[in-house]
Amino acid sequence: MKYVVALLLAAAVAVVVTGKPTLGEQPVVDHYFGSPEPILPMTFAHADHVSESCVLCHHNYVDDTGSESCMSCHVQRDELLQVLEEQFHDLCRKCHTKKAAAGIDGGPPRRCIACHLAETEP
Amino acid sequence: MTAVFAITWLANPTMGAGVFWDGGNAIGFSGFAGLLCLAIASNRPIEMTAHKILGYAVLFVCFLHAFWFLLGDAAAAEFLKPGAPLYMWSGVLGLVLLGVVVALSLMPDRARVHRSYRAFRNWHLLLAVATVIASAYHIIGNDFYISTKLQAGLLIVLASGVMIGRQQLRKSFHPTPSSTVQYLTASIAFGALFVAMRNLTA
Repeated sequence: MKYVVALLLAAAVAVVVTGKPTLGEQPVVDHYFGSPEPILPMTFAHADHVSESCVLCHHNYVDDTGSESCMSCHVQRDELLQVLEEQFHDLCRKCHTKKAAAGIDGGPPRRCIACHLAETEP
Repeated sequence: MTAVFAITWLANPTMGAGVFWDGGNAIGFSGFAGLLCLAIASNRPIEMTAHKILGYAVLFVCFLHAFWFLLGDAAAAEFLKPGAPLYMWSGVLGLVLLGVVVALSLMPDRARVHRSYRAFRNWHLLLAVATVIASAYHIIGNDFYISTKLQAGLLIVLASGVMIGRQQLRKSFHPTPSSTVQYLTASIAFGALFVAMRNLTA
């Protein structure tokens, strides 16, 4: 049994490290949006979000924290990059989940690969 | 098993994330329920087989949960690498601890590691409790099916209650060698209901 457990754990580590033989589309981890560290790609289309208030995401329109694009701060500034996953999941996923709970098709609420595919080349 | 799945249905029971995602997580909840069942199916001589075989089944279910996402969602592996959220590492810790608990409970390794049966029992219980805590944090931290404080509180009360009151529960439920078949049957039934409610009722 110990060899079976060790083999399964080793296989899991191998899948995490190599990303193979995972099914379906593969995200390419890279230096997107000028990120100093490799990050997962993110899919976002303004066209899918026109019904939302702009300031829901663009907080800088009202709190005077700059006029740059989202990623120039959240990805390129080291202190924000460290909380990128937490902040963006908190904003995007919670909104999608809230809509799903209300029975509205508001985008993917959970599946990782549904959002983490590149729309643009790095 | 009933209690674990009932807690997931206390908030947004019909909110789904697709058959793949909900199916993989139904397997995970079955794994967590199995950890609690193991506390009841004790390793006293008469129930040795029940505890041992159920342990194998729960280990299989928990690995199935992990590989389901690793092999089915290419981005999921990124959430198990350095920098991943603590609740994901907690799930990894729970799985590793479960593997260690199972592997080190079998002879002759058990005798190599522990000089006395008493020492083995104490370590076995300690690691089992750590496995349940790590798994519970993994579930609550993910904040999807267990998304309210009430649900999180009930899950903690359930897990604590089973671990603390396991002696009394053993007397009530009388686990037998067939408990593993019942556990796997219940896992399939509750898992199918979990997925159907979240994907067929919208």
